[in-house]
Amino acid sequence: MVHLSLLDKAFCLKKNNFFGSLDLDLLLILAEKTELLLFKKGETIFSCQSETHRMYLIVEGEVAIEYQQSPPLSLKKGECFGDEALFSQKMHFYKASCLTTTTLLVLLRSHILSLIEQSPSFACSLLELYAEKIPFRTR
Amino acid sequence: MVHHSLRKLLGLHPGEGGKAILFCLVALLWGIGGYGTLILSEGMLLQKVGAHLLPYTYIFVAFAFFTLSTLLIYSLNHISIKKILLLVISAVVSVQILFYLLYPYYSTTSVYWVVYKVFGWITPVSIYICFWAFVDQYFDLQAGKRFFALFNAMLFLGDALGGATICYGIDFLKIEGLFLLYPSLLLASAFCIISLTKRLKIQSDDLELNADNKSSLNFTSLMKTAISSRYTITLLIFYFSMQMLAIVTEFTYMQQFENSVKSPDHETYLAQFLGNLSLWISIVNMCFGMFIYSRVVRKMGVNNIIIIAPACFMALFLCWIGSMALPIAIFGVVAREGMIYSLDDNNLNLLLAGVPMRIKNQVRFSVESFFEPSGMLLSACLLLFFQDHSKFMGLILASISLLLVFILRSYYTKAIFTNLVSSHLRVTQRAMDWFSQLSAKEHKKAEFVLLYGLKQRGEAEQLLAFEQLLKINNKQHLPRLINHITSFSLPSKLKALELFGQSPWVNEPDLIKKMRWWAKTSIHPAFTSALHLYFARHGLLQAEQVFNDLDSPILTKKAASIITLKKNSQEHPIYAPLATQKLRLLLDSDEIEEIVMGLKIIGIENKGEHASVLLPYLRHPSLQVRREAANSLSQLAKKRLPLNCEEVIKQLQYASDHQIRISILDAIKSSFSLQVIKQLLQASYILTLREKNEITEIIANSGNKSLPQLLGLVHDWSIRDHDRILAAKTAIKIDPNALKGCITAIVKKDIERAYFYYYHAHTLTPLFNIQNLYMLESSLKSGFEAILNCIIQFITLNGGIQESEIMVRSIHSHHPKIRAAAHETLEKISPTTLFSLLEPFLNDRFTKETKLHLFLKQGGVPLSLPELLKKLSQSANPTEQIIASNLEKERFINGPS
Repeated sequence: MVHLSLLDKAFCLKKNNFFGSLDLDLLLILAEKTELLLFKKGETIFSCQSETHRMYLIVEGEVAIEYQQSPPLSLKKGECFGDEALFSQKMHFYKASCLTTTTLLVLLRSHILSLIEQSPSFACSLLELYAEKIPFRTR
Repeated sequence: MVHHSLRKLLGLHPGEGGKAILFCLVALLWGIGGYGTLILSEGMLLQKVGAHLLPYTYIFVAFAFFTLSTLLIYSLNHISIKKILLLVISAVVSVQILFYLLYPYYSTTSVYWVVYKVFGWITPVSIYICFWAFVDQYFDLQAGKRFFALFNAMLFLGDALGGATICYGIDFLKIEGLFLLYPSLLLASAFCIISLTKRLKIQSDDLELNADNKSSLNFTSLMKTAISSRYTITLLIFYFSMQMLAIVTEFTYMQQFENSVKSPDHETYLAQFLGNLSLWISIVNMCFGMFIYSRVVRKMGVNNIIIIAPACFMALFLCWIGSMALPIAIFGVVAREGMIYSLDDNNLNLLLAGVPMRIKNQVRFSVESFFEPSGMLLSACLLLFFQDHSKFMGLILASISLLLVFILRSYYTKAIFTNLVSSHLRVTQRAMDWFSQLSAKEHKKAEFVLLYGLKQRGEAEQLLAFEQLLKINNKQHLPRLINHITSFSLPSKLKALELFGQSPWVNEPDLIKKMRWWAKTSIHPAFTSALHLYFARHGLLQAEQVFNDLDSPILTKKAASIITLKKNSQEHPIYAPLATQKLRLLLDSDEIEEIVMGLKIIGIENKGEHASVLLPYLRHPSLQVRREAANSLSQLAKKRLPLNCEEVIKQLQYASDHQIRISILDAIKSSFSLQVIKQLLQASYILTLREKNEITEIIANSGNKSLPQLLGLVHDWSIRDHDRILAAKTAIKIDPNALKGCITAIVKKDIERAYFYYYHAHTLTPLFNIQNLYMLESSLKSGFEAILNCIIQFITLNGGIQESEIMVRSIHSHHPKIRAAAHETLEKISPTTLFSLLEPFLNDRFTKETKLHLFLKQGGVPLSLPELLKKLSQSANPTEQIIASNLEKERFINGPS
């Protein structure tokens, strides 16, 4: 398994759009709370309708996202998934499995919420990223 | 009715009966199956082989336990507890059936029975460990206090019934029948477990990690986590020493019974005597677990109850040294069979709440299957050499255990809270603090990571590495950093120049030489202008060179000229007024860019009289202007130039941008005086947690002088509760015992306020417009919540825990385990009288009616609506004031109904 120091983890986080606005002070604190997980090729990270409270960031490898009948979407190094379940607190509506041997950096819901409290700029980055995906919201 | 009484007798809450029955059934089934196997294996070994092979079985058992603990701890990383438990049960059932199948062929051999004995010993222990890890997932700490002892009692019952099946059923069922009965019961318990998991929801310990989730905990990180927790280390040593104590006690009373109870006429007299004693102790243990333990632990707290067992052993050995009376030896049996099983085992399930969450099950497994067998092994070895001194050995071990239990007790509360805090991010240190804590080797490695960061694809990562490498202050990296600037895009180049300007290498000849080269060769006007400004800022330009640029259309050139001419005002006094005039024009311009540049020049100039110029720009409509003004203000403050701190604090209240607030806080830090404490605390209301920490830091740096003022603010109910909490937090930072003398008075007064708000929020009658009353009601309710949180924070701070807001969040958490742990911590750190005052608001047992009654009982006077509105209009909370004044106005217009 890839061994990552705290600083390595901080750089992994910085690469992602969600955490790009954070300074090193916060990145190191967040990195300290993350966990590295290794999955083998073909292994399921989580299945559809499973309950989870984690957000995953790909450090190495490739992950397939399978949603209903749509063709699988492939996520690569630096991309993240599972975040939507953190906020909706609903079951996952897609399956995530590994296309290659994959190393993931895992963040817990409580840490993300705590980060939002500490860093309004992080909260804004999240809103911007979510707003980008929504062309119109029924009110 | 019977059901209700039984539930009350067992100390369970309404609705908990069904859950308890299911778990009790599982405990009973595997208790009979597991302990039945143990007793059968022991009996058959003595019967068929004799005691001479027992030492070998002990060695095998010890090694089997070590293997078992390794396997279990390893499997914890890969599969869920439920699966581990089911796997263990399946393995036990399969092996049991194998013994049944081999029985006709090998039952005459010694090996068969020795192996069966080892298996018989491992069976109950392995299931026992997994069972508790499994049970623990479904109960929080407070529920555990009610349930765990009950389940333990069921295990004792299972133990007794297991013995009874052999005693009364062996003639009928034969050995083969028992070989089939026990696995059948275990299999039945497995089905119960499956049905139980379908019905109940796990309350995961790891907060948000599901039981089926993968964990990355390897041996190194497991050890690191365990070693970093003093509580865990003490817990492990404590259980190790208690196991040694149990073995030494057993040896000592056995030795005495051999001499005083053994009868030459009756060969089974000793066995019968011990059997009789064990029976009664088991019954007492069962009753204790069922009806007493949960009540005692709630009354005394687990941190007190853990003292009982080692204290009793201590008393036992003190008596034993003085006398050899038989009752003392009997007391020894009670201590060994009763204290250890009914107290220590129950306590372990609760004490594990203080172990870091990610290693909790690993610790549980190692206590039962590694530390206890190791304790047994060591004490057996010691007894071989010091058989005649077992009482002294016991006394020493009891003293060590007692000492350990006091240490454990002192760590308990903090350990539980540390677990709570681990789920939150705490900005307690900056990146540079982290770097300074690294060893030389780690530092080297970190620098290597940063240098590698410069090669990353993204510029954000490169800049992050660049900034940190500059801060690290290692001259070796300087050439690389200077050269790296060329590979940046324009915005990053400008940022890099800014970073160099703030670094200690600002005037480094190599850097300046390179910059001059870039200034000549670069084709990008923005970059050359920035370089020009850099030179001006650091006095590297001559007045003659730039005089003509005063009227340059390029803003940076003009700025560089103003800076240089102002800097050289002594050598060239005639240019200075002209430069000042140009600066004024920039500041008065309608162009944002020009104003920003003007403010930047003021920051570079660093003159005290400019502070008053900057302040109005902090409320400029443009964010860019506000940011630059704040930045220049912090530059002035860094040079210790006189600032009007009160005025600066006023601006803080209007700052909606984090960057501006940080700059203003920097300015406040440098110009802080004791006179502004109250104003500063009040202004912090709108700040983020991180910024509030900055404020407490600023005030705390002034030392003990600010303490009387801070304590005065804590006692000031005319200011917001938020401000009082922040004052208390700062006081605690200066002196951890600062609140000790006044906490009771403060909390009592706040409890009175809480009751007032609670009572009126729940007894409002619809006199006016419903909507407005609804607002009044919600305002009273939120006022009550705010006061309650304030009390919790005061008690937490007084208990030596700085993260008081985490305690509030944990007390209100949706997660029962977090809530229970927070409740436990609060109870332990709070003075008893204060906690009893607070408890009605935290414990669901206290109904609304009880709380309303308590308000009146404590002398609370219900107010009429006009009186209530008058009181709220004088509140420190602006929302309450607004609602009260609106309602009052409406009442005036409509007249009272």
